Amino acid sequence: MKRIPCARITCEVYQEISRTVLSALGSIGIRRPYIQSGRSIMLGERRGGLFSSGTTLLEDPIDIYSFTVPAERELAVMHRLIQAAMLDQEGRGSIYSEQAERISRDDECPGDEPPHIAAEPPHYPMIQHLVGISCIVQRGQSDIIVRSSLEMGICVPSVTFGIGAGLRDKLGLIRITIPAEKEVVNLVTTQHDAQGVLARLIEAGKFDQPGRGFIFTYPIARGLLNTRLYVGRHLSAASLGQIVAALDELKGTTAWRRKFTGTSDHARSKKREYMRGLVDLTLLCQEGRAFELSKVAMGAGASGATLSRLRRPVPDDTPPGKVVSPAREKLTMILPAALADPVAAALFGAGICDEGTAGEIFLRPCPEAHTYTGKK
Amino acid sequence: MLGSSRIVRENQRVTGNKTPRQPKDRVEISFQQAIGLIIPYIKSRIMEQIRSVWLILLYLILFQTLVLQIPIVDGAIIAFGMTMVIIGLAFFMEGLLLGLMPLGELIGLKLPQKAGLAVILIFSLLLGFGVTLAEPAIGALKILGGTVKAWDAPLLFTLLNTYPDYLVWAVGAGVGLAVVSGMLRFLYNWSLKPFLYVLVPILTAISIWAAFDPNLLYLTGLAWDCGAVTTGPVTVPLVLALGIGITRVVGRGESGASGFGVVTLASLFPILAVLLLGVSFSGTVPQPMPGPEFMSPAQRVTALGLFGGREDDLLRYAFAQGGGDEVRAYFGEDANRRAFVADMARDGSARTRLFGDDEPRFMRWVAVHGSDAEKMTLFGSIKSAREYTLRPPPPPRTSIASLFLRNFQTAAQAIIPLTLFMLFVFFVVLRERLPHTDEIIFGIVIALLGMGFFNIGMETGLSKLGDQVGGKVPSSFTALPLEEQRATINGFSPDIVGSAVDAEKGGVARFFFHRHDRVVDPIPYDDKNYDEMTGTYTYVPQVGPLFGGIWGVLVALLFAFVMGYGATLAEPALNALGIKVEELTVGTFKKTFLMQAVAVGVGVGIAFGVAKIIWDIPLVWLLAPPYAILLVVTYLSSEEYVNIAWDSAGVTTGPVTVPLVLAMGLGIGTRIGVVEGFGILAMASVYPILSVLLTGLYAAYMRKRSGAGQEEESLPVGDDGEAAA
Repeated sequence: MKRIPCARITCEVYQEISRTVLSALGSIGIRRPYIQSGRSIMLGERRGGLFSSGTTLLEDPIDIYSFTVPAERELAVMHRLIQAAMLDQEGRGSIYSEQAERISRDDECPGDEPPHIAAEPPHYPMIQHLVGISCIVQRGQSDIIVRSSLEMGICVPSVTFGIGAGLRDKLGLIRITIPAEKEVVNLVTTQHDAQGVLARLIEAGKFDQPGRGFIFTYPIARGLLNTRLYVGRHLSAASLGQIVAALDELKGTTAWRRKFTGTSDHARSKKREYMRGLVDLTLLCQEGRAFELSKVAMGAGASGATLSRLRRPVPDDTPPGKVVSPAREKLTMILPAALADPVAAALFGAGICDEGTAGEIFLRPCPEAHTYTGKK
Repeated sequence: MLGSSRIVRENQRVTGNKTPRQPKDRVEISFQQAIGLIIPYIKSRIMEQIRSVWLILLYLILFQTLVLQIPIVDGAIIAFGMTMVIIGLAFFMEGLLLGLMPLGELIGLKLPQKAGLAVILIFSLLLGFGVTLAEPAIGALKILGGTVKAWDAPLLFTLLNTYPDYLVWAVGAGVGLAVVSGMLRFLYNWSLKPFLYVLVPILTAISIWAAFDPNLLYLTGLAWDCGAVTTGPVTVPLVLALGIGITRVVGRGESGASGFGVVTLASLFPILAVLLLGVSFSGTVPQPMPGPEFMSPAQRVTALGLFGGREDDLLRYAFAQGGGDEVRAYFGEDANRRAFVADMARDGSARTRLFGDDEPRFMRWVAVHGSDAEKMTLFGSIKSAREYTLRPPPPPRTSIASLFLRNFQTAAQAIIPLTLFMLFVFFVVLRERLPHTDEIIFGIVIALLGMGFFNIGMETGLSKLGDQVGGKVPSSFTALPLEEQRATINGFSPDIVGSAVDAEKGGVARFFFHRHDRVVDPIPYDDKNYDEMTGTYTYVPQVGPLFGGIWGVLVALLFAFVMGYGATLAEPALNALGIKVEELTVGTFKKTFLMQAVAVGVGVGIAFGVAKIIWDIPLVWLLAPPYAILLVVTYLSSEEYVNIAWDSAGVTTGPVTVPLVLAMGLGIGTRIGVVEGFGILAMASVYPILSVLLTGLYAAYMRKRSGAGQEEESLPVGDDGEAAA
């Protein structure tokens, strides 16, 4: 097994723009990105109600594209997408990239062919050094996290659905009494705010209590984020989002946006012990295989997994009459770094490279994680 | 930053805490832990159903006791029934979500990958046909048809009573074709809209044309109701799951929220099938005619045609459903009838053989309409004949065992053959393995149990209450005799009758005082109800009109609206649809939102349906305009919304709504004296489509205003980037 470094690009756009992104990707040779349906949430102004004032959550369907490119093409691809989908304007979507590793065994599973795009000089000012925060909670429990992240002005959160696998599946039929449906909230914040945000979210989502879920961070190299967090009356010539974007561009950095200053944050939050040195191992495979493979991974030491559904466009040159399923599944596991290789080896051993599985494994670091770990 | 020992410790915590070091296949939990898991689970499922049915239950009870001010009969049985409804729904929903729907989705996923087009289409056809035979929804229509007199609507009578199998087959063929075209739609990625643009105008055109033929006019109501009724609580979730599975595999990877639309087609095709069946039969049946003419010997051949040529059936029908004139006309000469009655009086076993369950009706006919001589021959004396009419009809006997047996039989019939067929396809045709076998089998079993409990609960609880309340609703605008409170006052003498000035009608009103339960009530006196021979006065209390003029009708319409609204929220198939929609749209299209929109639509539709009955408006004039508007709104709406909205229409008229609506429709229909009460269900199907599509358009408008993902055209093709470079 070897690890091949690559850039993993994620692009979240409103469904109305999805087609534009897909054709832009197709035009540079990325014909088969993974697409996950999700929802994106903004704060809306609530008016007119007798008892209701303040804000409401506005939810819109989004498509989350993800694909890998060789590191040297990363910027060019991102700029092409920003240009095509006009992501530099607020209220369209976000794009960001991570340094990930693809685990491959003797090149059995050929990866995607590199995009045919020349290295272009960067056009758009992107924010460097971001941190992704992912929260896995029970289905229906995401609103509190979404709301607090919007009210803190962190970012426009995106929510996807998943199914938890783990201890539950070993219980026999009584497992049906434990809901497996999860919601995954994805947030992106700047590195200088990450610690403060993490602490606040753990508080808001009560992740230090049993049964509340799991929260972890992962580094993001760079990105351009949707700044439209709030919809309401505009009483000024430019929206706040536009002003923020303009300042980012002028300053060339987002450090001025820092919200959580070290001292006050330190005073506020309790001293927390984070789990450190973990990795996020993600397996992408054909629909219908992930559940079985999650058992294989758990046999190799993984403690649990989150399973979600994705799709992958079918290439246009598919011979007619042949059904090529676009349905894919994603298995996300947070593991101690030392377990990454044994789990990956077990997965390869279970035949993830055969035609019916077409699996791919990616690895990304996961510097901090938190969940209830028993009474101290 | 951190010591390596710390990292190791954390690592151990992650791995060590959640899984044992040596992973086992099975983790044993103690009995106490199991109870700790099971109780909240059951509680949450039961609470969910209580939340969905409390409105309709409370509403029916309060409406009867507070608005109509009539006490509830059989309260204990109804309370038992309601409990059964809640438990049944909880079981059934859980069974759908654990067993039936995952099975449907699995087949949908595997079918296109493993089987050719021909196999998929044959499977679809069989499935569609099979679900229609399995689900006893058509039984509900037969109940409605039971009140239709053969001479009033010969065509309707023929289809419902003489050839009900043809009707079921026509509907089955319609549903089968619908599933086939639904699958073709998914496989070739066709839009639903063209189907609607073609089917709806055709159906409307046939219905308008049919409105000019008295026989076909009655048929249109049946046809449109068939469309609404066929898609039942097992069919819908199964077909939905199948569609969702298939679209996940065959699409090219477009938006995730597809897989809907089959239910719509399964509502429209049967309408077409029934209309065509009716048209093909219309040549062979007579036009509507007065009862005595129909029964007269001159029309005997035609009349027998409606009874499959069996003279006994016609005779029985004459006594059971006819009044005095029909039976007299049947025998032509009075002497024939006298001879017949004498025969029947002499040979009790022949009488039982000939009339079967209808025997009391024969007796009753003679007691009420027969000549004195006939009464003497059958009853021995005029007095005992008179007493026979006063005797209340014996209550239908149902033992608890037969109640359970019958309802579980229906449930088994709806679920078992279908599941066996699905499992056969899955294991034998597709040669696949089931994941979570225990879960799916458990789901199927509790779906079966749930449906049985639910049916029992409907029969003893909700339907019973619905019958009581629905039947009484007309009292809001018209005088309604309360038959179940019929009382016979013995030892009555006309001497105590007094008179009062009638200020409303003028003249003199006669009344007497009656003391019972320490209360003295004035009771209006009518000569007809006094029987001199037995010295009894039969008294049927009356209620209403509770509200004068138009207000009474408005109260009835409001009742219909809230009942439709409340019943819809309790519909299991709609719940299943809502759950799937919410899941596929990742929570942006909320289940509660969909259900509210649909429930309001159903309420409006049922109110219109009641208006149709009260004012006897031809169904076509109430169906054609909303469908015309719908086609426009459909054109304006997005494909996703169109699929969901039209599907929710097919889903709404399920096992909770149908009996309640029928009870009310029949109650009002019989009071007003209309021939048939069909059409309310069809009205309950069209308005939810409109309400869902309109809320969809509103949501789209709001989104546009909020600026989330602005329209492509509204933005200049951005060259900012190039300029900056």
